Amino acid sequence: MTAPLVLSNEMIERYSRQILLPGIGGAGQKKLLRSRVLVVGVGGLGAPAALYLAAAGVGTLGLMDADEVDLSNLQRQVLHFTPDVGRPKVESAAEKLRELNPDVQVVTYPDRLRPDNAAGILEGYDFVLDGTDSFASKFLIADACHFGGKPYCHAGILRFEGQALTVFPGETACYRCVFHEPPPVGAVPTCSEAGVLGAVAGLLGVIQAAEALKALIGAGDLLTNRLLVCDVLRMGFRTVRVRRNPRCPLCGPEPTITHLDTAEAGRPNGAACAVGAAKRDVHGLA
Amino acid sequence: MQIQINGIVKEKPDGLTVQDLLESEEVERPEMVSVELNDHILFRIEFRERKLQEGDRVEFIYLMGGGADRTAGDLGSAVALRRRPESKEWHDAEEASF
Ligand SMILES: [Zn+2]
Repeated sequence: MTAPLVLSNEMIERYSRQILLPGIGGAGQKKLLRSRVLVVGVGGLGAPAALYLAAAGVGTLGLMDADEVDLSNLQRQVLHFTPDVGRPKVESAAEKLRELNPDVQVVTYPDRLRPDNAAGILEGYDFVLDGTDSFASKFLIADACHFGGKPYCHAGILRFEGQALTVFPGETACYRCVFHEPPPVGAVPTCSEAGVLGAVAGLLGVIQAAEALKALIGAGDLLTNRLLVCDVLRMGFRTVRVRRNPRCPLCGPEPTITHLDTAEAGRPNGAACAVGAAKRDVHGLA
Repeated sequence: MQIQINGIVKEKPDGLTVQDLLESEEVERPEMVSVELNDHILFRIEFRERKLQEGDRVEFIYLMGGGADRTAGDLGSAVALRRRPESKEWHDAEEASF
């Protein structure tokens, strides 16, 4: 067991505006300081999310990203500054977050999430934020969180629009309940063709951070079983009710995805992050 | 018949299938869309057979990527293209959904 955590005077002052909030208080703040959140992808979603998580005093923040900062990232990935171009994103992000809040232990993974490393990395965390771009990653996060029993918040952004969904595996509708499987390879144009407004990325990233904080302290209603859809051009928000899908290949009663396929880890597109082996006994392994 | 599409009530011809609806709504990349009919997600293979009925509520849910570039895999990002609803339709839908 960890030693009892005592809030220092400095901590009480730093977090005073949220300690004041009903549902948080000193006990909630201590919970946050003991919590561990993994942010996969320190880009348009992950950067703003990580800023708010660090500022709020989430005790351990894992940052995972294999990329280096590119000039074209700066329009939306607000943790990275102009002099950071060319540096590893996790390094650039960790530096800012440590300066923002020395209470936070920042752990960096300059790597991609893969079927063969996902379980080991996820194990040490309480909540996962999906800040990734590709479908391969998004489906892998959904699958790995399912098998690891880790709650996560998905977000997607495109142009002026965004969506978010929080999932408690085995309890609430999962990403695959809604989207089943990645679209056919080759059918998908790249992000650079479609574009996104930086503020939309920020908006959704901050929604993910809020979901993580609420989940960690157990406050309020999460975006579970409802997908938030927003259109910033029209500035409208809706939630679409989603429910656990009895035919979900991952969390349904007869799953066809029963484990992460580590044998496929070396494949370049990583799409085959999970395999169809229809073994019911393996379901719910985690 | 009247059906509700993404919160907006529209008049559509009888006998329309989900696939027909995707086409009439000019969804350019149906492979990027999940369709929810009356709170139940349909499989893509059902789009062609499933006929719509008066009062049905249909949601097109678009796959979206768009966070960090190339964090894992190289499938590219998530893009779903479609005709955007008119502003008035969207705002009417807001009123309907809250
Ligand atoms: Zn599911």
